Amino acid sequence: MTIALQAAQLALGYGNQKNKIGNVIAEVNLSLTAGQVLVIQGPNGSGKSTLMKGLARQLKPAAGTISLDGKNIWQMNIGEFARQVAYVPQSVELPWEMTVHELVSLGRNPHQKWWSTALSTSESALVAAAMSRCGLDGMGRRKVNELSEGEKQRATMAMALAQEPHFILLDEPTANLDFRYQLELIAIIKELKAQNIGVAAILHDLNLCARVADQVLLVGKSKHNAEKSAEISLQPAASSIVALGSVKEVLQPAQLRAVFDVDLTIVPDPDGDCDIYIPRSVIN
Amino acid sequence: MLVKLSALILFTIVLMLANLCLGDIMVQPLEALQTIFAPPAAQPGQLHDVIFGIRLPRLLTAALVGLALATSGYLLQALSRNDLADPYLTGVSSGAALGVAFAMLLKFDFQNIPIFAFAGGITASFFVAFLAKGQAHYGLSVAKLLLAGIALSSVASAVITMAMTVFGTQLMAQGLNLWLLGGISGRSWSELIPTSFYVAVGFVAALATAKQLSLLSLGEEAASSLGLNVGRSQVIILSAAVLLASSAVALSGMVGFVGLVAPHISRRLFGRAVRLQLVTSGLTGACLVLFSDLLARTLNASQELPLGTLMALIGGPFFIYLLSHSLERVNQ
Repeated sequence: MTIALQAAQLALGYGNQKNKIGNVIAEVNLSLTAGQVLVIQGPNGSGKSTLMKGLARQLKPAAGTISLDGKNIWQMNIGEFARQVAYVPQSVELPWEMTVHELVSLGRNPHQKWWSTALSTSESALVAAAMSRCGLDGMGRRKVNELSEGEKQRATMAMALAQEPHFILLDEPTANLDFRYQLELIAIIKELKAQNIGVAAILHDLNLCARVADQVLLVGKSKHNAEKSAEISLQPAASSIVALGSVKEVLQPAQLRAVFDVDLTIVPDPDGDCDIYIPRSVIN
Repeated sequence: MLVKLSALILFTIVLMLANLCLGDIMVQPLEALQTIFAPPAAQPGQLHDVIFGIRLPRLLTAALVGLALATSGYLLQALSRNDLADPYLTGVSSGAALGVAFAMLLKFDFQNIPIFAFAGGITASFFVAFLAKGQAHYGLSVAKLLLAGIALSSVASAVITMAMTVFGTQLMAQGLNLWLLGGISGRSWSELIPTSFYVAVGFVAALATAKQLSLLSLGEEAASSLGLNVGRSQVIILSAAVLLASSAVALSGMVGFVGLVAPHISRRLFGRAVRLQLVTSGLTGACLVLFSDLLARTLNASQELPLGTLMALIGGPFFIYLLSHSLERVNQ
């Protein structure tokens, strides 16, 4: 039986009841099943991170529902949710003199009693494996605030792996990684997929996206909506789904041009089975 | 680390012994210890009275107040994620003092006073937290926190003065003023014992939240994605901090800066690991107040200095130093 993280007619925005700011993203319907990789694509400011926050139970939906295994995530206990879904934000604050090992061990929190930080033998092995998988072998005693940005990103990734979730949500996991670790991350995502874990990730790099995605979600503002919204109010229009489907279906030049205003060339990879995407020029 | 921790514990014990022996009447350390642990049967002499009636309750009060204020300061700093927070500067102590003033006016027994102090302190803390939250995504704005604390302290002390002038007797007003200056002279077992119960509850609660503090240090977003109920944890930690500070206020009035200085020294010596800090901040605070009270008693033999005044003399410049070294962060 496969479980799924699903969004139905989801709209997300910031602000409270009194001071309602327009939705950032609206009318999202998607389904991520265990063992599947969903990559979210879209221009800056199109609500990708907002959508991630919504799926990660960080932001209450303005409309619609998100369900996990058929259960509304906001009716779940926060610990119950964290045992199933891990979220790696764009940046995690690591201000204290915590060691890498302590940080990764905190990933076990949803599985522990509220006061306990003790790791069982199997949990210790799990933490070690997670660190090793993220290239942090021998760095357990390093202080996290002394790490480089890329190492911090790997450490927070290891923390999410130690959480043993069914789904992992990654907000720009490659932002600070050099290309070696970008490839490592793609390999990790593929391993997670093989372990029947569902992954949703925001990746800007079309080539990385093409290598790993089962589904691509392209979000953006349609021209029609933007004009209609400008007529009735000063608020910018909410983004919505432009396309959702396989790599070949979504990453088409015409579609990408419409959303990003960029001309692309797509060429077949002589040594691999993914196409290569070359952004050429910005259309004015 | 274990060596350093043992040294701190040993230092605390030495300071306690010094507080026990030094003063108008000098007592030999051995003699003092003998009086406490192996009292000569059935003849409570002068030494016995000095030790049990005056010095012992006073030094335990000093240690308790220091421990409570320093732990409270540490919790507030961890919670607001800035090293300048302290129960005195954030108005928590003033709120607690207001509670105590009302309890005094209504002539409640001393053992109920910490409850009033807690009620005043928790109201003040929620008020300040609300004002300082503002638009800040992470933690509380330093500038707003301190300004809200100042505003609240002024209002609280004005209300105390007004209430005492209108409703209190002159004697009561004098007593309150002395108490507000901060001091622990003349504290007896009957005041110490109930308060130590509240401090124990607050301290145990603080120790129990060590993991929550670690998780919160990653930011609210990361903490909640690790399954922490952020709001509930913050309320529990804040309540523990306020209970500790209010108990100290009930016992010693307005002794400032301990909650600021002690965690800072402790961080310099022991680093920032949460569980260790919870213990070492408290011990450092105990040492600080024991030492200050020793000075307050012995510096000027004819009349002792108010402890609060002495702490402000030590802590004020320290605060200015910290402030000038973190101006960039204050400006945020």
